[in-house]
Amino acid sequence: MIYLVAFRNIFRNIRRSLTIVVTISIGIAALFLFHGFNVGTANQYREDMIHSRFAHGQINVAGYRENIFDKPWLHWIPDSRLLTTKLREQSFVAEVFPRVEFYGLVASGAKTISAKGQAVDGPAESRFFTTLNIVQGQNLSTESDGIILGEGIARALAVKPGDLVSVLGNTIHGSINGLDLTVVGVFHTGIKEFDDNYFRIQLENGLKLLDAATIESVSVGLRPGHTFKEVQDFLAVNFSNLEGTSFEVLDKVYYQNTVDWLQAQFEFIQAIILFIVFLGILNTVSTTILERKQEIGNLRANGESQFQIIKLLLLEGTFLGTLGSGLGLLVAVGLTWTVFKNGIVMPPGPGQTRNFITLIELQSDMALRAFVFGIATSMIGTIIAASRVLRLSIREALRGI
Amino acid sequence: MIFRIENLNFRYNLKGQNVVALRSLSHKVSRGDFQILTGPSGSGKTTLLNLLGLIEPLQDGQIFFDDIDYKSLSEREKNKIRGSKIGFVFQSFQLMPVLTAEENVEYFIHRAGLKAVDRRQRIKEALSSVGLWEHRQKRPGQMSGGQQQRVAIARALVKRPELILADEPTASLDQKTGRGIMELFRTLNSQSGVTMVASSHDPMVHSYGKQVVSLLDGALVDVKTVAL
Repeated sequence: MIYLVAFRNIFRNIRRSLTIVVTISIGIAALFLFHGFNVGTANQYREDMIHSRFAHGQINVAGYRENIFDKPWLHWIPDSRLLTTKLREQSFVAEVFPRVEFYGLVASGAKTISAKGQAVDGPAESRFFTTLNIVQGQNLSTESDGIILGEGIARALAVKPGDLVSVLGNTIHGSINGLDLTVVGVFHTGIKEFDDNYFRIQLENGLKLLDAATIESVSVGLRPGHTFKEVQDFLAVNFSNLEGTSFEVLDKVYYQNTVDWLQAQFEFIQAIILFIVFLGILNTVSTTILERKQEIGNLRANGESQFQIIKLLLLEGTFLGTLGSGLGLLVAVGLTWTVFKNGIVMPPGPGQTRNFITLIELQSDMALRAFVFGIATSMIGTIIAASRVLRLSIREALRGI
Repeated sequence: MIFRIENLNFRYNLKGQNVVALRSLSHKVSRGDFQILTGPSGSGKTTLLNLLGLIEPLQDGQIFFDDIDYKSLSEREKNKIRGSKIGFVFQSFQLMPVLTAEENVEYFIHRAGLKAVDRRQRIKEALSSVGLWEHRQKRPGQMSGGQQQRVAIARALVKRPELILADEPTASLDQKTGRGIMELFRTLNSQSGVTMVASSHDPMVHSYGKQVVSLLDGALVDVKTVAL
């Protein structure tokens, strides 16, 4: 009976019930969409980071990253060929990228600047690092004497694809060595620090320049649905002298801090949205309940306890909260499929210099959370509003004071 | 004996000022009585009804309901008595607009622990006794004021109370409809033996009571037995 009364009371004042339902639905839709937007932003940013620089993670000799060595090449991966061969056999691995990083000078004519070089497997990297935007020329692929330069370096040296540059560096034995290379492209990752300081050459050329035979690191690109933990587990079993570091850790300054920042921002905005929804509900439900003072007085005069009346009002609040939350979720899904179907153009993220498109990625766990939040907020608002009426004596309630 | 009222005093605090509503009032209500409380506005009629109906807390004096001392009752016990032994009828009918006449009556016994068939029987009896069984599917908005008050009476009756307290039950009705309501009260009192205490300053209403209890400035000034 109480459920029937609570349900029918929703239709007692349609306009007011609609106000409550719309207030809740707007809040819940905003919450759900904002969360989806944050997830979309974080994921887009993540994909950009993975496919521009680090892949999903990097393998080094254990302890290599945490220490500074006088002769780092003594701590490089001793048998990288076995490692890369075994890695490629794993079902979760899409690509492996042996790399060597080194400091050097890049010279063109009278201009020379110091920069950091990456000696990479050109063909493999050009397939995976798709967000490495080539703004001039082409990506480093099979060109044996090719070099690609970060946009900042190319600008500083005033070179373009087809121009010759010299790369100078120290061999691991301490002597000076040099390579004459042809610029095949200029890249733009969006990360200014990277674009201003890095250049890439073929792995063979890098090893020749350094006169080295071992590999400093192996980056790993994963197949969809897999995590870097699988790589770490593989290393623990097969190469216990090596360790894998996920890109989230490698790029903590930009990626992880950005994700953490977005999450903190979301929680703050979530609290504001819920507070606004709460105030809206409290105000509307208060008005509704205050108008029903005499009815409540009558119920109490006829033996209904305060608990039973709260229960009735709470049921009404729960029905409205459920309707509002459900509608809010539908609105969010509808907007995602229509208005935001093609995503939202976002300004450059932290450490980036180019716009990117964020898709709203609605999450089922957030749908559940938002749904529960909507109902809970409605219930709390109802309890607070109802408790004000129940504090009145029955006489006061009956007189509608 | 239903009520024994002894030396009852009651004050309201209105904006910091004590207003005496009842003073040294002693009275009795016996089973089967039909008492009409009368007196000008502010004489204490509603306050006395509220105290009898456990709507106001006792301040000074004593009320015994079937030898139960009101002062000894917990809030839960008061709710139980209000919910089972006392029926209320108010000037404004206070029906739930979203429920039909039948549902409005049913609401007050839905927690009584009755079987569905017994509940249905009680509802039918209550609505039939006020002549509204045929109108049971109507909502309050589809009924006249007199019909709504009859539903309110049926709602009070369905609990099978020992006592009905009615505060100005005809004040919102025209004379003819009010007379019909009072006829109904009289029939219920004489045929079902339900004890009635109603307040009104309408002389028409007085003619239906067995006793007319006059109050003035919170004091009982006269009790007249009406010749039927």
